[in-house]
Amino acid sequence: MMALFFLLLKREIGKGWPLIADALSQAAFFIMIAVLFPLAVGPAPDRLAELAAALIWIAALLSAIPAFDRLFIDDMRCGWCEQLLSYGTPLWLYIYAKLAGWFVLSIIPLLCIVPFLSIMMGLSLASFPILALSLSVGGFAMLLLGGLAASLSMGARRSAMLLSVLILPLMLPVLIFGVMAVEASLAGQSAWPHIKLLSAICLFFAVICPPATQFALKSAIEER
Amino acid sequence: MANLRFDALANPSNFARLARIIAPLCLGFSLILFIWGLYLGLFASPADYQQGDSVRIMYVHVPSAWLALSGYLGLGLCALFFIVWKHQLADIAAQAIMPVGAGFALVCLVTGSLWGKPIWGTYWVWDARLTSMLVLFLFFIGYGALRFGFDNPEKGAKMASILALIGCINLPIVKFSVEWWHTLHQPASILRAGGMAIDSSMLWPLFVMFGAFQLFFIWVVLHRMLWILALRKLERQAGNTLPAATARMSADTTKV
Repeated sequence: MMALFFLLLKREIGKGWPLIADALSQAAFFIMIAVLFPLAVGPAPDRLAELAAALIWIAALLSAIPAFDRLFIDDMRCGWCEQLLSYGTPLWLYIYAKLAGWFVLSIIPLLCIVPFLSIMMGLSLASFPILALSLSVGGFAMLLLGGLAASLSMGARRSAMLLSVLILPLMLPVLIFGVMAVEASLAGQSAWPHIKLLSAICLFFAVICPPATQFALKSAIEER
Repeated sequence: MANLRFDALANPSNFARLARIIAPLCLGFSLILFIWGLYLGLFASPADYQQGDSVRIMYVHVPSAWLALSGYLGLGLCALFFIVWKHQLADIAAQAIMPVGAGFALVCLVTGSLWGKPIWGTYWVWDARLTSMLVLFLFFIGYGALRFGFDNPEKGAKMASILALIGCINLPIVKFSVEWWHTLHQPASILRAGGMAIDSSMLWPLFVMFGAFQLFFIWVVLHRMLWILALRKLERQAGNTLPAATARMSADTTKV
């Protein structure tokens, strides 16, 4: 099972390098959203530092979501999903491999930009590890929800917009605990309670989302 | 009575026959209860010793909150029935509940914020109860957006049902938000451990309004279900495909 997972993961990541332009445009979008806030809120450093964690979280969320509508559509069109099904490969394994590949290709580039942005926003560097940790745990939750929303809205009109309407309400608890973790560390308190709650939410989504995604993908395959 | 068969109702024409009898009854009783409840709520019940007359907003606010929540539960159950047994009536019921539940969630939010202004001094606070209710409203909207987001309505129905089921995790959050977090919103006073914490002079109008709202909800949903059934039948008879039906339906609503 594990070997199959790594095989699928290798395919996802290998396929990703031609998509490097997508990753670049997503990174640019991320930076752009983060630039909008200081210009809109005003460049006062102490105020920005107060808001920095929240702003970076929102920018990461908004920039990651539009890419999700491409998640399954190519594999669906070329018949890869059908082939996996006919070989008896469990689709949830494919879904996990897909999301793990997406994590490498889309969340990790964002994490590489975050230190620069946090310096520009005046966030103290000491709290950066917590920010990165909360973003990567939260990013995984976002991917799980994104996979679900992508499989649900596949083939819909304006699927990218639909996708954000479906993901964002479910992302609220993740956003809350992700930002609270950073704010706790800024205030000199322990961030661990929040990180643990965040991980609990993430694990909860890891249990309920893949079966639902699998169900949606299967019914999409049946309709072809 | 023992061998009353509910599965006979799964037949759409049997269902329609019964619904045509029940729906007007619901409307009639709802109107009677509504007038009685308004009289009780506005004239026959005392003003609160702290909140004054503004407490009377409760008689609209609480029933609509209840209906928004139970409406979403109904939506989730219909979605489950539709996924498991692929029964068309369950899908029709879900489609019928969606805008009604969204409407009650909106009424709950608006009356709540109007009540909040004199009592809390603000229309809106970002506390857990208010935010989770707003999210419930967004789930209703999201269900509708996904339901009608496809050119093939059958696919939309299936995908939206999955979403409706996932959205059910918000229900306990709304219900228990006032206990899990210490919020500005007051905790539950009716359905709570340790009995009710509300005087009977205020409980009565509240119960009567509950009844009126619940019957009104059933009337609207049954009415909409009959309407959707008729629409689908019409399209089948005309030999048209469902996409054409929904296209025409949306064209009709924009005309109105």
